[in-house]
Amino acid sequence: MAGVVGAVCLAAGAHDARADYEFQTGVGVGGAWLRQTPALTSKPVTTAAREMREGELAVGGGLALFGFSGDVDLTIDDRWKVPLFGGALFWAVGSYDAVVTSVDGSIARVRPWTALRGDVLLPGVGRRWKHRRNMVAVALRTGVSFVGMGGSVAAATDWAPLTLRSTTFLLQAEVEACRRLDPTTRVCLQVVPRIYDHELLNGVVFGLRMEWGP
Amino acid sequence: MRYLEKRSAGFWRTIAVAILASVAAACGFDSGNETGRVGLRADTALPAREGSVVVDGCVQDTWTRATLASPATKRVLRTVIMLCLVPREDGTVGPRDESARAALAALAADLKSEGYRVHFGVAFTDESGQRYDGKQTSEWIANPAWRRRFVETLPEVVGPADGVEIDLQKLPNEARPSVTALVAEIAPVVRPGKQLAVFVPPSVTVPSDLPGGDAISRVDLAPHVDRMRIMTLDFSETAAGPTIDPGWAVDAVRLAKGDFPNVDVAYPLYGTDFGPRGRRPVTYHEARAIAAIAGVPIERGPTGAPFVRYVAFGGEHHELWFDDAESTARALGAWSYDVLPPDVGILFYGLGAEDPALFESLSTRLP
Repeated sequence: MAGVVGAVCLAAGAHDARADYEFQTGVGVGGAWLRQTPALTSKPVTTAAREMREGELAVGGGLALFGFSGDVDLTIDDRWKVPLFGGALFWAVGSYDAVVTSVDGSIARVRPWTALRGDVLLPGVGRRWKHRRNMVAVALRTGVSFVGMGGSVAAATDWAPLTLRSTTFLLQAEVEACRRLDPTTRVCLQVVPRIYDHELLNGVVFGLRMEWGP
Repeated sequence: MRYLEKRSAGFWRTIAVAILASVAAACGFDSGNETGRVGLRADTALPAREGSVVVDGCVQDTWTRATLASPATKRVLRTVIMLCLVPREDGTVGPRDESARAALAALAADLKSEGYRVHFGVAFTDESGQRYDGKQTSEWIANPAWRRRFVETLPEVVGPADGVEIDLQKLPNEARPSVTALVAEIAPVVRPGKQLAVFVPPSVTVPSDLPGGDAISRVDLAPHVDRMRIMTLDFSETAAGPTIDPGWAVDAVRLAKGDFPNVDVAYPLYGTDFGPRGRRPVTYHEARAIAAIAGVPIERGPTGAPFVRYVAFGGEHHELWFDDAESTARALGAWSYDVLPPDVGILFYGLGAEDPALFESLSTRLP
């Protein structure tokens, strides 16, 4: 919400000063680390032993992820950066133990290696500094993040599949160092600490990013 | 200069393509191991609950006495239920002979000296002491004279105990008024100084999903008893499977707790061997011995309960399901306080059949 307000205020301020504003697009690829996997919510399920209502499963542990991202920004006066909208999709990489946990008293099994994380990136506000072909930018932006993974619940001698999801408000700080390749293209190294992602300081995203814009 | 710019751009593009290719190939995979995070997390605290154990009989051998004497067991258990009283055809509660009653009194004193509360359970079996004949029992308890004799003779045998447990099984639903009358008549002679509890079928629906499950009315019995033991045992009766499903047990306890606040959830210490001629109870040691002799691996089912598939005499195929310290701790951990409130107790059934590491393992995980 702060990001939205900031973006609107900046845009309004820029208009009053007859500022230049231009759009910029970017795509990125890189890794991510989720420090602590959140508790996941399972949808109601009927097993051979019982009918289960919606429940919560403790999963814990960290996740290493890889994925892609893309977004659209607004730049004002070549100094202010207003991230508008974007998205990211990550999936688990690496070796994971199956997590034996429980949901509403039943034994459950979660497969962290099937984890998928999606981010819907919402507006924020930031600043950028240029020096010749180089640029450094920082921004604070909001969003919504959801993580899901495969699991199953025990019912005597059988397993029943579980649909596991968790959604959260997202607040992240974007820091990038870029170098211009040609008049409209930049390549950037980006580090994005997740200030709030299910809980405080719960991971980071890092990677390479291509940007097209001023 | 232009050459350098082109070279730089080419470098970055090469890096980008290499990363894209590696990312596209990257994925997560199963390590083949398991990490336990059941309930309050395995290897940390299990929810503390009041524990009771049922000894199926009037006698304790040296093995069960040693188990009960250990500090670990004393941390887990508070009450020992000796399921050994049996009503006779005329309503008299046995055992009646002086020797048996003296032995029972000595046993109760011994257990009390270890710090346990001792309850005597009345198993409404026939005189074999093993077989429940619901039709015969329902005829007995429907007779007011029979009940009167039962109530008269009960105090003579439960003197050394701190409580009395009523174990009625295989009754038809029509026996419900008789059961309520029997318990209502027992209560005044037991409760002034002792606790009265009943074993209750593990129904998960109303009306009951179990044959004869409505013979015992929780609502009608509530004013007359101190505790109801929800017998969440023998989940797998026809097809081979675990003796308990922890989730099913939660549903049974929740339903009962809606009618009466003081309930226990039962957990089996024994296993069950399923064969073509039916099923039979087995001990942990017997299960391990069968696996060793047959040379077959011990597998684990979805709930964590171990099981063994083996070929017995005459080429008969058997499947033997049992519980060990790990599967029991897993289930007890799954019953965290948000699932079953702290006042729900645990009733372990079948002392002597358990994994010898059980109580040591549980006690180290208790807060």
